[in-house]
Amino acid sequence: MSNFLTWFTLLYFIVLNGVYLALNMLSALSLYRNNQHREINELPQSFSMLEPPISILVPAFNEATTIAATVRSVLQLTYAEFEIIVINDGSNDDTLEVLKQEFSLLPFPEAYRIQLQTEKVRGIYRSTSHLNLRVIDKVNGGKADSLNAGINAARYPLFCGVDADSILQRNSLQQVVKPFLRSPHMVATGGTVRAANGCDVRDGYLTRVDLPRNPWALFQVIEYLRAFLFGRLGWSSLNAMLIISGAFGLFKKATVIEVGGYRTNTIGEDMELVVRIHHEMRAKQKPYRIEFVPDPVCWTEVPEDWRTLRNQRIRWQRGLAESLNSHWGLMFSRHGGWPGWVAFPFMVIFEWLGPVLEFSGYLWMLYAYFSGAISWQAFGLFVFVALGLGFLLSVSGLLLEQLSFRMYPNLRQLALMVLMVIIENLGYRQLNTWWRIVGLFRWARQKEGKWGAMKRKGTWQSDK
Amino acid sequence: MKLWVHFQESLRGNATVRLSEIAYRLGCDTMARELLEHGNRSERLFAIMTLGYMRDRSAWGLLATQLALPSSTTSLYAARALLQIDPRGAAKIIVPLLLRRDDWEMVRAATLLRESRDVLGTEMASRLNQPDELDTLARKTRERLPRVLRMAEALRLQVSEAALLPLLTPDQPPDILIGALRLISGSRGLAAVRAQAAHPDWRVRVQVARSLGRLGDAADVPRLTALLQDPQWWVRYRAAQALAGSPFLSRAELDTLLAGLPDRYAREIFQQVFAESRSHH
Repeated sequence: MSNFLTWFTLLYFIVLNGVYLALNMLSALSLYRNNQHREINELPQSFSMLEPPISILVPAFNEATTIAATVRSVLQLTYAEFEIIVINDGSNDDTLEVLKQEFSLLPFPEAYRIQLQTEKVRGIYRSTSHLNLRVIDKVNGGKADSLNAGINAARYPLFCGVDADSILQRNSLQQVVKPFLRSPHMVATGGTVRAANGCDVRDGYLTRVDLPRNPWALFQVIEYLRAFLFGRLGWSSLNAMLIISGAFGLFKKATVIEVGGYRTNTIGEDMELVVRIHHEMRAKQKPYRIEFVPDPVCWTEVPEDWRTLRNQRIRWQRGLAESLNSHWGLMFSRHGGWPGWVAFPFMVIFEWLGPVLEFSGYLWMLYAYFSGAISWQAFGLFVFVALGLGFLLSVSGLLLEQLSFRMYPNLRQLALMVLMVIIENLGYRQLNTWWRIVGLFRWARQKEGKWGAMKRKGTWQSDK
Repeated sequence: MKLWVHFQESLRGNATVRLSEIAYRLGCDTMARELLEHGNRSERLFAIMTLGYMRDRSAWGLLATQLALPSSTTSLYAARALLQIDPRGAAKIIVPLLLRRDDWEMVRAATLLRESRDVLGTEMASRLNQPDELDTLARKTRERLPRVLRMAEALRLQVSEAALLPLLTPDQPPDILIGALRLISGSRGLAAVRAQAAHPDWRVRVQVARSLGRLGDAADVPRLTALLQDPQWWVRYRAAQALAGSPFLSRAELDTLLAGLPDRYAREIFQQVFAESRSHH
């Protein structure tokens, strides 16, 4: 029995890291291809006016202090044609008043189309200073409900969900729309999200990229690099990406309406929607593509205290569990392809149940070591596989970043990131595993989801 | 060379001519040929752009070879370079490719070839306007025709009424009808547009409303008023826009029309379009 458990634990870590290594290689290949066009893409761009127009949806709940800066930064995006729809989700603060004052809003007699059911819309306003800006004021219903209301009001064939506290690159729409120009079957694209802590932001724009001093935030810089640069990019090359970050994603509106819009009774509405699109498109055997754009397009503030971080991770794990649990039909389905036969089972085993298995593995190895059931060599091998490969993967994430985007070019930044890659294996990673177990436990108890309250410092913003 | 191309892409007028002179003095043409032969993908693209901006006639053969490559990016940049060197000569080679190469992204092609729109337009229009050319395309490559029509629209070509009319018959698929409706003009064209006002596909009805707004006369007011009560939001919206922008209706007549609308959705869309047009003025 003890031999079986030891080998099972070792096998688990080897398979997990093996898949990650495979994703890493796919990502490296994809980034190599992407790099060949990067210099061309960096030349001055002009628009043909054939680009599909985009509706930008900004759901806001109690964002009175940041909403004006967010909208201003979105207004300055460079793209052929876009509209901005801010959805005030029954805020208790002055979010709507701030918007009315800052953007000269007046009530607008919109012929509002109900394509997706939402909480009651109390009113629609239009800016007299920026004609492409509208505000929907509705009864509180959560982020997913707000996005659905935004979709109802959206005029254009593509919509982009943006978090009210995100900082976008000026050319972010140009970047994420590119896959839509290449393929008529494209239904969604996601962009890379990076940690904004430590960076300077002026007037809603990122002016200087640097690493944060806060260790919690530093760990997350590494995590974001790993998750976006090889996690999503690797899955994307197989058309099996199961998540597009809610902070920044572009969707074909008709497809989202066809599958029923965002689900309001889940915490992870962003992931659930993407898994549902895979599920339904596969079931109907419709050609479709979901792609990831590796260029950094969106910057977001990550938690700098353990309590907020813990809550966020618990929420993410619950969201993951809900998303997967709603779509068992995709797994090993006849037309499931890469999403159904590889990505979904991988998510179930390594991301959903992974924390439990990982934690049990640590406990078992410790028990086996102290009870003398395992040799020094086996224990050493376990430490090498579990920590060594984790380290290798994080370093490869850094390497991919340095080879492609070089957002952190100086030696001090690089040395600091390598140091964090080593340290994160000695406690932070295990802590994350524990939080994810708590998330699973809470999901099993089926507590209701709501807007995630995030404690923000905003020290990286010089001007809000 | 990359910096030089960057300047060429940013500047207009005499400055670009002086930049070319500098490039010749520095031997950039030789360097570009070298890169075209031995460089990596990115360097080859910059070499193509350099030779194009330098209007290097002696590079025609090299660039024509690149035009024939399966890579859509390389071939499109080669197309632009050839058009920069000899617009008329290049148009004769490139227009058939525009009609044939489905791998050329519409947006990228329209952006890159925009500078040569006039010469490409003339060549393409003369092809499309040849008797039965579009009709032949419609029969032989039905799936390609909507793309050709969209490309013609992107390059703002004047495709003749005679060439488009056979595409506006009820038996044509919606994508072809939509493409033709976006390009049609003239009195016979107007009659063909009117004939599609009750088409079962709402995307066609949207284009009918838009085209009636562009081409229609006073006789089309009842037709547009009927489209205001269409079950599809976009049809109602375009019909309301066409009516609100119609030179045949005064503000008072529009108000009367609004008051007389029996349908709530028609009234709502009309009010929205009024509010939009007020804020635009």
